[in-house]
Amino acid sequence: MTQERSPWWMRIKARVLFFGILMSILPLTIFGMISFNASRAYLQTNIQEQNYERAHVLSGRIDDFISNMVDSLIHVTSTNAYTLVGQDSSKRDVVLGTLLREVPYFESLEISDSDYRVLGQVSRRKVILPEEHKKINYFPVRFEPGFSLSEVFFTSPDSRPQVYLTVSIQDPQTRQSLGYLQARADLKSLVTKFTNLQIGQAGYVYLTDEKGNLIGHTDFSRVLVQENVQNNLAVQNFLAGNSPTHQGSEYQNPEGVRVIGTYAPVGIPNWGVFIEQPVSEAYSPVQQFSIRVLGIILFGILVVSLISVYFGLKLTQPIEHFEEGVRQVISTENLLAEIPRESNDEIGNLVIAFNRLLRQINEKNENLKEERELLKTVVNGIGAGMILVDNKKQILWWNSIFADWFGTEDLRYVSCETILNGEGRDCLFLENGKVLPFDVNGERRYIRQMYYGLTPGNSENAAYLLLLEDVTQQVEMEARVIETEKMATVGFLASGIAHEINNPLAIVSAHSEDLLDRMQEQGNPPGNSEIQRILKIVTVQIERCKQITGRLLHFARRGREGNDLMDAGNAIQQIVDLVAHRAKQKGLTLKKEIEPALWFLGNENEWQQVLLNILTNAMDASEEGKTIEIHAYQEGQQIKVVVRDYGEGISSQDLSRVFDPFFTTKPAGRGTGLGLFVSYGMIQRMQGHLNIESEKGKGTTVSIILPHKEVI
Amino acid sequence: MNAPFDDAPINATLVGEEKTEDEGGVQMKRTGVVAGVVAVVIIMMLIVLARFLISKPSQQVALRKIGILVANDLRLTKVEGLKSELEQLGYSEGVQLNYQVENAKNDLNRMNDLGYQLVQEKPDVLVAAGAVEAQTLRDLTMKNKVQIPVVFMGTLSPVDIGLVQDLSKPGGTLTGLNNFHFELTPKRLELLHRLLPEVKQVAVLGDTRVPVFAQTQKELNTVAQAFGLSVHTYTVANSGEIQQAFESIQKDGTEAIILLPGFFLETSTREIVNLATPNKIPVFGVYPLDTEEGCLASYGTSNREQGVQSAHIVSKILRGYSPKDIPVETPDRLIFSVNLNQAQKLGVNPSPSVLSFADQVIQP
Repeated sequence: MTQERSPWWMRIKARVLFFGILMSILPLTIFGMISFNASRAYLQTNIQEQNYERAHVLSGRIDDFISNMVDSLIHVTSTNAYTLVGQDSSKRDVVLGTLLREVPYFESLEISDSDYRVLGQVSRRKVILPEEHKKINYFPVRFEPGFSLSEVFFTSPDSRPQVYLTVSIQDPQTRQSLGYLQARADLKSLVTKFTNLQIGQAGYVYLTDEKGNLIGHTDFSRVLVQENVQNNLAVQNFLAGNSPTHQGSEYQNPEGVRVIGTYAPVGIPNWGVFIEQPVSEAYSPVQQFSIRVLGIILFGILVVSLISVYFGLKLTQPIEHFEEGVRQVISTENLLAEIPRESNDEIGNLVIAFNRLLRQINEKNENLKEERELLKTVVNGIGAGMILVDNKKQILWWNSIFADWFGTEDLRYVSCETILNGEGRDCLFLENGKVLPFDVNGERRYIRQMYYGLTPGNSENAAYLLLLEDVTQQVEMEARVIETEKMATVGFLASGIAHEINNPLAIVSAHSEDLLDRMQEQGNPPGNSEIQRILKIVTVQIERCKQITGRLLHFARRGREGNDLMDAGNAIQQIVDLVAHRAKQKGLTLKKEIEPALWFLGNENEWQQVLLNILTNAMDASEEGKTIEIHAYQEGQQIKVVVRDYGEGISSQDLSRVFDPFFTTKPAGRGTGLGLFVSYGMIQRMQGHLNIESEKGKGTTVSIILPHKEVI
Repeated sequence: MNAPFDDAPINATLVGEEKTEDEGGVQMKRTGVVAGVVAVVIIMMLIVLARFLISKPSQQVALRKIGILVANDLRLTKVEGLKSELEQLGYSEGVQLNYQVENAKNDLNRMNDLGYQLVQEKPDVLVAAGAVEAQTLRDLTMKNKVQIPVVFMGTLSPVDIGLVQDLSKPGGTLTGLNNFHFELTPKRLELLHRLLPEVKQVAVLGDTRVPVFAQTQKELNTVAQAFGLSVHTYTVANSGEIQQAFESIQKDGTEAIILLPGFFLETSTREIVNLATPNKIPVFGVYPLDTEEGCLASYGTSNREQGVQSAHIVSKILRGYSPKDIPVETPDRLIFSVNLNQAQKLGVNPSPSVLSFADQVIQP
């Protein structure tokens, strides 16, 4: 039997290491992931809030920027109302020039009367030609404190974003409108300020008007091509009037980059400041944090795993060494080997116990070997052939006796039927104890075949043990006994037959003498007819003698062996005829009742001997005038033959011994004591049963039951 | 004869696996595989760990290079403005940025060699202090087939001198600042007129080598006609021609001189002023620096302002924007400078209404 080495994943070391590493990874990973997620959420919120704060600051700056410019205009108009709309152009120019100088974001300034006709103007770049009369662009007042704001436009050719700021010039006393002061404000520096705000490496800022049109962008080229940003989620929220939140929105910008966008409305004017940053960059701190957390987790896992592996190996090493030692013992079959003990723990104790177990096994092994030798001696000396066969009746093992009988060549896996072939010799194991003749080493031997079913699962996988016992001596002895008994019976019958034959012989003798006398007599010689009559009588009587002696010879001749199909009634009739004369002599009545066609398989000679023994016993036990009843009939699948006498019967003490050999109650010289013993064996060989019931003083009933054989 | 009772090995049930050489080899191979997997896992963990440990230094921004080509010392002021503003924008010299400045010291013949040196260094951004530097770097990058962005810190009419295709969409590797000096020439004539309304005869000193010279004349004549002024243009390309021009100016009864922008004239301001002042002829300059050098007034952006403004463009490029998409800018701040000290010397009274507009006034 070989022992498969367990797959590596089934081994304790693998399991301990796996469990150790798993327990190193799982808690750290779970803890790390929870911490990481919480920190990531915190970081993301921080980043979003930071961007929101930036947008908010920028929107505040724009608001301040516009407010400051408006305040400058309102201040100038409120303090120089009459100068601005007065006739003195030089004074007006001084005011305008001063204002232009003081507010660097103003590109130009224009004064108009209440009908929007330009009264005076100054400009940083444009040449103010004399005699220019035109009207200012009027924009209704839209915002408090009383100013209007145009849409953002871009100058040509340098694309500077600019707006018109217009304030009304009111009469300080009457509050009537005297005219308007309109400034063309340059937003370039404002836009530059916020577009240069660093939002990471790839983040950007842009500005839209109240309609969502792009009026400023970190990448100014986008403003020039008027890129449509109205689909951006943040812009849509702004246009929908939703309040900005600290939580930014994630969406794809027109370039398809996923960004996180936040915004802040300016208020006055109704513009929006937007900050967008690619998600990948915005969350790069998160990624860096992830790497750090991952690094820490991995480091932790590494350290704990190494510790787990170290202790796992240390723990399992004695087990592995123990297993190796056991394998060594198994492979070398050295039961005296000693596995060294490496530790004082349970495994060390296990090693000690195993070593002790090895000693015990060795001891048992030695005992078994001795017992085996004994068994071997017994098996080979038992005088019987033995074989073990499997379910297919193939020989698995045989002993030396069997080999002597049937050949010394290798019989393994040879079919049992090949060896034990011949008539009546089968390996069907239908009849246990069957005695069969074999030619063994040129001699005829009688062997009793006995089989025993074995428990499945034995080491040889044997199904049956077949025991072949040489019973030649027993059979021959039995045959001699039967013959002896038979001869005894013949002898016993002979005296009766002598008497029986005496009458016809006397008749023959009488008639012969009479015929001789009459033929010697002169004068009255018997005629031919008389001679024929006398010779017929002599012939009949001689035939009668011949029948009498024939019956005896028929009984006494040695019958052939083996079973034949026969009618039980015929033999009964023949035996009744054989003993009829003796019964008559003793004054007994033989009453027979025999059904026809009582077929069964048996040896006719033996069956006759059985009947003769039983009838003889019945006649011996019966007194004169008694009746002996013979009843043969079929009952189901059985043939029953019942012989009942009304003689002296058998005592209960003797009844139990009647089948013992040499037991007889008859006077010396009258019986051999073998009749019932032989009969019992014969009926058994015919698969039948013999039973005797008797009551002292009342008679005996002998019942024979035989298996009925249908004749087709 | 096979007889289990004859020679059956009782300890057959104890016979275990006999380790053959093959099985031993498989076992060793299996152990090797497991050891290999464990080793790979440990190595991967160590790699991740190492990356984690060295991730801090990798976060440092790489030092980036700026190559600057300057024609003369005057334009170094632009470089100062550039560096100063980039510092404000978070680009510290030596930390985030490394500057390589090549100065031709007015020797235009050296420009090409110096520019080539800069290109060879393969900086992240090339910066040209003016038009001649920009043209030199443009030609060198094209010739060497390198795509280094070039930012010019103030040139006049970059489209006309072939630096960009379009002011709004430059389309190439160059972008920068249009200093607007050409466009402001008519405005200077207007301001001269408003400052000194009595002046009617104006001489214009220009350099024909400046590409837009001819176009300037046309604009000037239009404005002069509107204000009833007489304008006469003198072309100068060297010091001798300045002398000759002044001889003519004296003869022509010129009452004031306007300087046109240009590389030669911006370096000859003091010489011109020195020739004009004795003749009581006020000179209207371009740069605020011109006023300090004796011009009565000037109107334009300062060199420093140009550097400052250009710094924002450089910053954008450093942040990854392409120069082809960055519009050419015009000056955010124009400075009107008046030298009342010079006015006193010249015996003129500038108009107060225009003085109110002056950003700088040099008091007597």
